[in-house]
Amino acid sequence: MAMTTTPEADHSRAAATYRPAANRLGLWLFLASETFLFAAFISSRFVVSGTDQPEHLNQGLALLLTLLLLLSSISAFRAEAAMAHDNRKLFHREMLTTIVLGLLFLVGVGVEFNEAVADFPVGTIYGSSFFMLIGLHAFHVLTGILALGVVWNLGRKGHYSSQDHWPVEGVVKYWHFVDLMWVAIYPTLYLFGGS
Amino acid sequence: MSNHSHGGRGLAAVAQRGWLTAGLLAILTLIEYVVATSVDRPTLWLLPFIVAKGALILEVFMHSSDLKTINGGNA
Amino acid sequence: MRQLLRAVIFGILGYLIGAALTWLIRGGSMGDEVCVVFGYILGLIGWLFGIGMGDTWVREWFGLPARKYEVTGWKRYLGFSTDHKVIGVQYLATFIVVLLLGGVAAMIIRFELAQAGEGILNADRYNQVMSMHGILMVAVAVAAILGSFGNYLVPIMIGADDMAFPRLNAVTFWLIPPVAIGLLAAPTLGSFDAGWTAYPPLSVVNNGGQILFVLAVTTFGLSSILGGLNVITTIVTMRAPGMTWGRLPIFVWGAFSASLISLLTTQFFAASLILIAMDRVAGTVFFNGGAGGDPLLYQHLFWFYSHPAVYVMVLPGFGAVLETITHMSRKPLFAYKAVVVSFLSIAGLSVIVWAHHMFTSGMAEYLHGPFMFASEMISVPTGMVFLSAVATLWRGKLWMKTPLFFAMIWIFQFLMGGVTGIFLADVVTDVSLHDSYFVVAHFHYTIMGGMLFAFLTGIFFWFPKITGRMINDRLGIIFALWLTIAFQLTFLPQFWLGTNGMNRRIADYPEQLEGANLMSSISAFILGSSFILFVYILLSGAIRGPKAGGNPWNASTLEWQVSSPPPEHNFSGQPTVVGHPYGYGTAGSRHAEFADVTVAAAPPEQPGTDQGGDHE
Repeated sequence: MAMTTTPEADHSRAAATYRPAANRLGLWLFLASETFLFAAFISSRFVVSGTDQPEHLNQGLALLLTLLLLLSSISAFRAEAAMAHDNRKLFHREMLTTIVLGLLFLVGVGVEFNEAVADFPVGTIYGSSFFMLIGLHAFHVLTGILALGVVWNLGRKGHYSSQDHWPVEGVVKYWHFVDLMWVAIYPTLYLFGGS
Repeated sequence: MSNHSHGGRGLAAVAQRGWLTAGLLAILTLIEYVVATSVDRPTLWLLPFIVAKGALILEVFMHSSDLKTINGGNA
Repeated sequence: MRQLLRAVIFGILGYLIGAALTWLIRGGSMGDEVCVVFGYILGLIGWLFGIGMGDTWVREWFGLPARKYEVTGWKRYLGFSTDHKVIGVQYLATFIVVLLLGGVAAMIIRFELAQAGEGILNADRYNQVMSMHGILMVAVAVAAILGSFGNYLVPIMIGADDMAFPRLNAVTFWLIPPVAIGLLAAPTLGSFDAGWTAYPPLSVVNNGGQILFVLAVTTFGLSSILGGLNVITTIVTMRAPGMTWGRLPIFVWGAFSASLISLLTTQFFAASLILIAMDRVAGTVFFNGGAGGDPLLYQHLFWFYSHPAVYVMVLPGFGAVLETITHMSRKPLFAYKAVVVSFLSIAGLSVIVWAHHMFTSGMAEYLHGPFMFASEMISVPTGMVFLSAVATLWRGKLWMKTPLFFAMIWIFQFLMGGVTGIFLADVVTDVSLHDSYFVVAHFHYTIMGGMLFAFLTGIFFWFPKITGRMINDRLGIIFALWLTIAFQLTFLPQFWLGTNGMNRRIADYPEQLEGANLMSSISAFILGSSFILFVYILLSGAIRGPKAGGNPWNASTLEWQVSSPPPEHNFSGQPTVVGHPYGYGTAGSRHAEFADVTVAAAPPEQPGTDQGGDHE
């Protein structure tokens, strides 16, 4: 995504009018494309192992991970709203909260992986799907944290305002998208198999 | 694009809307979990929850109504 | 030039650091596939950073001002340029080279197959050459038209000054060289021999070159996704005032629908290759039947992209051919709106036909009927495109120059491909024909006939625009006839070979098939040698062809209303679109007006028609 107006585009006659629309559409298209990537892996899980799931799933940890993502969503949402209202202090705090919650999520995934290696290793068919899907999602969380860090740093230096904060909007939208994918992945791996 | 995403409401109102949505999502997740652990083959039962949660995130958190404003620049 | 050198150094350093770190952490040897994977990823990042992404883009992420390169002249083509016209030419040159490389591989294949028995290649080598030919040519087919003409023409045709995301556009192109390097470096790890389709289980257990194939082709997929995203965003948000959806030139519609497919479905190809990589490197068992996996999963994922990919290849080709036909027969495009609907319905239908590649794979029986039906449905919108092409030519004032020659030959070629495709979409006949040379011949008629001939149509039609000079038209027509006749003599015998029991993808065959194979091989060499003439025509035209002027075809669309080659940022004044692009034959109609002078007076427009598709 072009996070900021490109210098090359400054000459454009209509730069000011189309740029936000283009950025937004570009991000939505990118997310649509990413959805297909997740869909491919999720459907692979159903093709190779249906809804089967092992008995030793750490359901408590999975709920905790879901909660962490949910909390980070609300802080990201508030960070964006704060910047839209020029409340830099709140923006600063909520961005940091989001990043910390995201890091906690990754730690949780680490714990989860550690348990999973013993119960259903990569070489089992459920383990393959499990590590693939959680790994793909965690990779997106990681890139999201990096992007949040970049935007937080630029915001700290005073780069954005209520009139011009597309990068904030963009990165927060990406973060919510990662959450959205979790909404599908969580039941796919933990719930569809039943009790 | 000022306040575009939040319909021009005050910060407190927006934040409240966020918390409300998050609460709703949490409740939906809990019910989803209870259904999954008490029903024998829960796949179909869970689909409405996935759709509802996804729609909430798309609509409130991701401002999917943005897309309506992208109407083709100059045309 | 400096950036190119820096990119190479950063790329090599990235590779070494990635591979060495992985080796230090995990032991084993530096040549292990895990090390190659991480080396490649870091090398790719280093390459992109070095070529200019770091200076023009990444710096902004840390609050530093972006640097801008002040490069002029031919050196622009060797560096990170954000000008869509430079990127278009970069694509064009790159893919003509890749096309010739793939052609050399094809010549080697035909040399081996000229006689029964083992010739210059043993069976293993044959598989490697065949795989290389396949993937190089598929890459050409996917990206050549969309990458070069899509980049060069779409912004001008819609009256914009550049793509929506110029820097992303540059990154999209500079992802291509690592793909070529990765593929061509595969022999150092033992080459890949699983064909361009890379079916498991073979692709999970064969030589290490397969991992480079996976990495390179995934990178290529990323490039097409980003390119598609850019084209769609450009068309939606950057049209000039008055350029409504119903006034878009047909090539723009072709690029739009192809980009839609490539944006979404390419992810499935990426997914299938990532799963192969995981099975090879991380020990997952997705395709390992013994551990509960399913090799058929790969085919489903793979064809979910790779059948729609055929339309990524031909839809921009349809656009280029129809564009040429309407301008050079001096008639409005017949059934413009129906063609647009056809393009979009081809894009829609393309994602529900993939399993017709799998009728003999052993997938569930109940899937056969629906996929057969859906596949044959596609012939309806495709037939609409033929109808439009033929009806536009009908009683037109034909201007028999090289581009129109190619466009008319295209109609025949793609028709041959389409008609023979019916037998392959039909379960009953496909069970016998599958995996035979009938498929090979059909595929070459559709893709070489449908995409390559459209590519050549586009090259000769827009050559004056891009270089500012004309080609030698007589040589162009000789090339067209030479190529076409050699093409028929090469591929028609292969239909016969297929129905007489010659399997595809094997280095040897029964002796009674020798005659037709020899004929096909000799014709293939004649076909291949015609490309020497092709390169000569392009080079001599570009260097000392007569000056073309702004509008040598006297055509109506916006790209012809500016100088050849167009100036930086394309238009001096803001163009305003006031009418349909193909208003030939009706007095007083105009496509566009410019802020200062009114140009585009040549193509009149029928008042009151073709405006129904307009909307805000």
